[in-house]
Amino acid sequence: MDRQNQFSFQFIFVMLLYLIIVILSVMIITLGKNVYDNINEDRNTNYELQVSLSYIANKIRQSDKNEAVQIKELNGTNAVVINEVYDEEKYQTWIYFYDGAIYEMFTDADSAFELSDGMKVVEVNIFIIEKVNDELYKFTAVSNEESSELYISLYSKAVI
Amino acid sequence: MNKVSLNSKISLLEIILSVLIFAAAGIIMLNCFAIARFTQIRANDKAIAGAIIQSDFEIIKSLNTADEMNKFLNSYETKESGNINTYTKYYNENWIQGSGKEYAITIMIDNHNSSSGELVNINISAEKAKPYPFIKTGGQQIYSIDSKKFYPFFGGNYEE
Repeated sequence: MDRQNQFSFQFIFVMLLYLIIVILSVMIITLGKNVYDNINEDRNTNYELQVSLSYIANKIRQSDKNEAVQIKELNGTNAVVINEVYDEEKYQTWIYFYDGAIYEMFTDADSAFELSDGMKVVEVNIFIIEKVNDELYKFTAVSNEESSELYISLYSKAVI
Repeated sequence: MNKVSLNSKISLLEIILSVLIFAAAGIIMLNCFAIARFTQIRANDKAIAGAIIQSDFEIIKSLNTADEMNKFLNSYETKESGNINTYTKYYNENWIQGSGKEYAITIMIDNHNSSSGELVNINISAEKAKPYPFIKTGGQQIYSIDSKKFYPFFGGNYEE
């Protein structure tokens, strides 16, 4: 009888240890998944915010010459227009926010186009373009309820 | 009738060993998860601090006189005067200005007057109040940039 009791106690103890291992395993896997999800979400948000702001900053800096950069209204929101001349023909690059993303459209100067014709650059929830003064622009990007803003100053004075 | 036999002595030893190995592996994994999480937080902080510092530099770059720069710097929360003027503004843990002191953005201004104008050495840095847990390298400084701006007394090339 004693031997049987001892056996059953040891069996329960072993099963309890197994149970602890299983519970701890599940906890560590869940924790790892949460950490990975958080890192991935942060990385995504960071990517969308930084890429959108860096993209527009580089575009403007590349074209920072007299009367090359303009802000024009497009579909009720501000858009950046970069004027370029190739082979004596005038072209424009439009950068605008449409349908949850920043779009870029390269077209003949003053030709009409549909907003959906542009090339999608990066997805963001909101993208606001503001002109603070002739030499200073403010860009605000919002992604996953986080926002980031960037001011860009121009050596050449902007046109509106 | 079938009998199930269990060599309980060996089984218990094996289970205890496996629990110890599992515990050691679990501690290492948890430590790695924590390091990964706080490294990601530091990377986010670096990106956000970089955008704030870059914006402040862009604003200073767009200003035309030292007086305009001083007016802009007065928007910072604290000022320490001396040979080098130090201006600081504070952010909370979500990078919202004025509602906490988790992060500090500090501008150090060193003015040098000459007969033709004022040369301003500018250092802007971002710091975290408390060090990042689990991360030994890097310290509390998140981001730092040095630059210079010259404000001519007589307007420079673009003025009358």
